[in-house]
Amino acid sequence: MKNRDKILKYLAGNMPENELKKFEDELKISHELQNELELVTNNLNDLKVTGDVKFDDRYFSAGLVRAREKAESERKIPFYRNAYIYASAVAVVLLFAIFFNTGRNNGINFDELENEIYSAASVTDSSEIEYILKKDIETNYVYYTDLVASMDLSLSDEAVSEIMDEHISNPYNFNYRLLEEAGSDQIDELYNEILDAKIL
Amino acid sequence: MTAGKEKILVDEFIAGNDTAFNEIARLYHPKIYAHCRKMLGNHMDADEVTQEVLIVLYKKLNTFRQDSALSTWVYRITTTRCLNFIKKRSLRKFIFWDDDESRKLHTSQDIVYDLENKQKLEKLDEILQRVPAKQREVFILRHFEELSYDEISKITGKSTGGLKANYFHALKKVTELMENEKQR
Repeated sequence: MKNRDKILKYLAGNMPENELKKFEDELKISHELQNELELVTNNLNDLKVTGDVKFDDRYFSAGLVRAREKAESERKIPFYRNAYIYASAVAVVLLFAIFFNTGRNNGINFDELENEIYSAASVTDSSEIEYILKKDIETNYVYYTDLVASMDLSLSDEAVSEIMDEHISNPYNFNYRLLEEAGSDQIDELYNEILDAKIL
Repeated sequence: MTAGKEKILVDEFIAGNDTAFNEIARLYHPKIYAHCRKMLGNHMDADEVTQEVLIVLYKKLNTFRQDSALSTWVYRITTTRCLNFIKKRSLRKFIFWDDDESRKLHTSQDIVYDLENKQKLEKLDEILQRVPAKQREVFILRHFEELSYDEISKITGKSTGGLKANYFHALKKVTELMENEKQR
């Protein structure tokens, strides 16, 4: 290690004990090291003196008054003056809500799913759909899961384990309600889980 | 001012004595400004952040739990505000292409009028503003404010090991810059 690095490490108090002892022993005998240490400390002391700047005292006596006035004026700003900020915030929140909810398997998406199952299973009665999903899962699971895959939907880990637990404990009683509430990401996850578990 | 006296002032302020804040501000205002000035490199920015810090102190002093020294709390607010300001300033420069005119305006206003102190500040800014902000923060607290690593750790929330490393790098940069300056 170069002398300079050793000196800076020493001044930063960043030397392990054994290294520190070695450095201090070397410092006792090495004039070169002594000179370099002196040069560095002198430079740093110069800088410390440079940093001791005298500022105009009037600034500090007026500063507190200004800070109080500023605090007061902030308090007095009427609601409408900041209305555009609140309006933008509401707009952003709404946009986020719309963005994150797009593709969720509620309302229209689920209706689509139901219609697809409807046609795939060639049934005409909606109670039949309920029956297919709840009771006759072994026969119609393929339709259903293919359909889920084609819709590019997915499920969160939590929902997957919940649905899978349900399915494993009672494969003929698939949780229809849970599926209705699941997001598109969650359904996709479920599909992959089902594939991995070789249920299909 | 002793820690006991500071505690009395804080208690008085919390109890509703508004003038106790003046005492606290009188003590800390120059320290806050000096720190901001070294961190930010010009009067206008330092003034803006100092004002912000004073307002925060005024508004939040009643929430100060007194489980650390008042100075630690004040420095914590000041250092956080300075670093945030530096980030915002960089973004502003990037987005709005801060031109020479606005930079000149920033450096032209000052609260130092005599030549000696002006020269000191110029030299100081030239060196400190070339040290990365986080290293600069540690360097200012350690070298100029003469705080211990433990105190700086309480202010910045960083480990003492990390602070020592930051200080080492800051020392390296500062000494290099000073030597280059002397050779010119």
